[in-house]
Amino acid sequence: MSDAPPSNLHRYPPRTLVADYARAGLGMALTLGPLASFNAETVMVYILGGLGALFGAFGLRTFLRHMTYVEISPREIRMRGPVGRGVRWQGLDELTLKYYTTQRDKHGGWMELKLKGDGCVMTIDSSIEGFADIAGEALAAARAKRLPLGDDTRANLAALGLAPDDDPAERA
Amino acid sequence: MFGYTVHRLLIMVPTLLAISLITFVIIQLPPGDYLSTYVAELESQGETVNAAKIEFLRQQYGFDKPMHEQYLLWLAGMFKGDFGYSFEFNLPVTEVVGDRLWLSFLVSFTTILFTWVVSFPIGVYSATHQYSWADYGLTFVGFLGLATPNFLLALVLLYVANVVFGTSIGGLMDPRFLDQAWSVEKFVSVLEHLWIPVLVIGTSGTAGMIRRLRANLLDELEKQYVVTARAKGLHPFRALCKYPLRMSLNPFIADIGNLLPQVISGAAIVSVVLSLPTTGPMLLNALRTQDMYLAGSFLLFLAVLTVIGVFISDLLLAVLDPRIRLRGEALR
Repeated sequence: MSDAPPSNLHRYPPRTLVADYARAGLGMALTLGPLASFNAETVMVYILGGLGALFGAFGLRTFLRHMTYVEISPREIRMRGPVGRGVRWQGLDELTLKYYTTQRDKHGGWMELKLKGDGCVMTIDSSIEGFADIAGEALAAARAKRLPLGDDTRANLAALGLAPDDDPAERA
Repeated sequence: MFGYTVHRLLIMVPTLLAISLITFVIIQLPPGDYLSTYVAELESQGETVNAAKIEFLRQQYGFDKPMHEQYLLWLAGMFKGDFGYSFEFNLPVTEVVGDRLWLSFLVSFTTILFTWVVSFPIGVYSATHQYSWADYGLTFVGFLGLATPNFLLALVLLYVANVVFGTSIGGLMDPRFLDQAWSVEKFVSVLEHLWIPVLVIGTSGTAGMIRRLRANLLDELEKQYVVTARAKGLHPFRALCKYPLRMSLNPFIADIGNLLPQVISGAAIVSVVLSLPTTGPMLLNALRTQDMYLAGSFLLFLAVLTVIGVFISDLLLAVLDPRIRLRGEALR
């Protein structure tokens, strides 16, 4: 029996998760390790403590991602896991697709898909498996509801190979 | 964004370790050490030097240990909040730096604020009113600020402040407040003296910033999307603020990496001319006398600020700069 999830289930890939766990662990070791040798009144305690908490939070986020998968059905998109939530396609109010990069040539960046609706917000990182498919489903729902899309979102969808102005039937 | 922040923070660790090692080695590179400089100075003044005492001090300060051992001891000390000992001041580095750090921060932060507040409106005005009389006038003033040596302007302003306002020459406060605890009067005295270094150091920075902002904004204003926006009847102010101004802010944000270390190191030559009790002259002197832990701690602190500054400017650029992904590029 294959372990591969059905095509409507999307997870963060193990390779990304392992790298993130390693970062969190290394960060906590480097910050919380030396903390024991400091005098409680030293300002370094607060700096290292704050950084240690940040790496701890990152480790927790990685764990939550590890335990979470995104399920897409004709009715809704749902994150299943410890902090589960979902948005019905009919209840979708806003779709934004942002691209972040720190390089002037616009390379080496990452995307963030944000879906708002049914009183909740879902943010999905582009490192998830099948990100373009998720974005495609969200676009189809947004188009069905005739939601307005921002210029940046439209351009980023186009960069994923999704034409925001075309009819999906025509595209197929 | 969270993942990127964590990734960048982790990269800072080996970067800073490498910088600390390079800093330490470079400080040790000149022949001799603090004690040999000290002995040479005493001998040049005709004083006799007790060789046994010097040997004792050499062992006491750890100069007899190999360089790598000295480095590791210094590094381990830092993790306990101990940045070493200043031989010249006979005090721990943290005590030597003390108030100077805060006064440096005050001078430099006010200077940065002055630079931004003055250069931003002038730069925008010059770009939007290109080749007008006001543009020519402001450009002339800008070049004047850029071309005038800071130490010269410092001397002129010291004279004017003394003759016109009766402000005491040099320093960041009246001499009577030097060893007193902080009070409202002392703070007012600092403010009375602060405008001179701020004006002196800020003038050249302002001129440079105006030129860069003007050039960037002019580049943006000539692009097709701005022409289209104007042709479609968008209000000129909105057509300016929506994208061109945001894009032209990049040099301001990218400059944070350079500005943060300047906050501490300040303008050393101006500080010497104005007798400012800031960290710039102290760093200069520590390097000259091979006061290695004081100089090393200073330089490492500047490196930390540079790395943090670049990190902050990268994050701000990613958030503020509206980016669109290029087609066909692989995602991370």
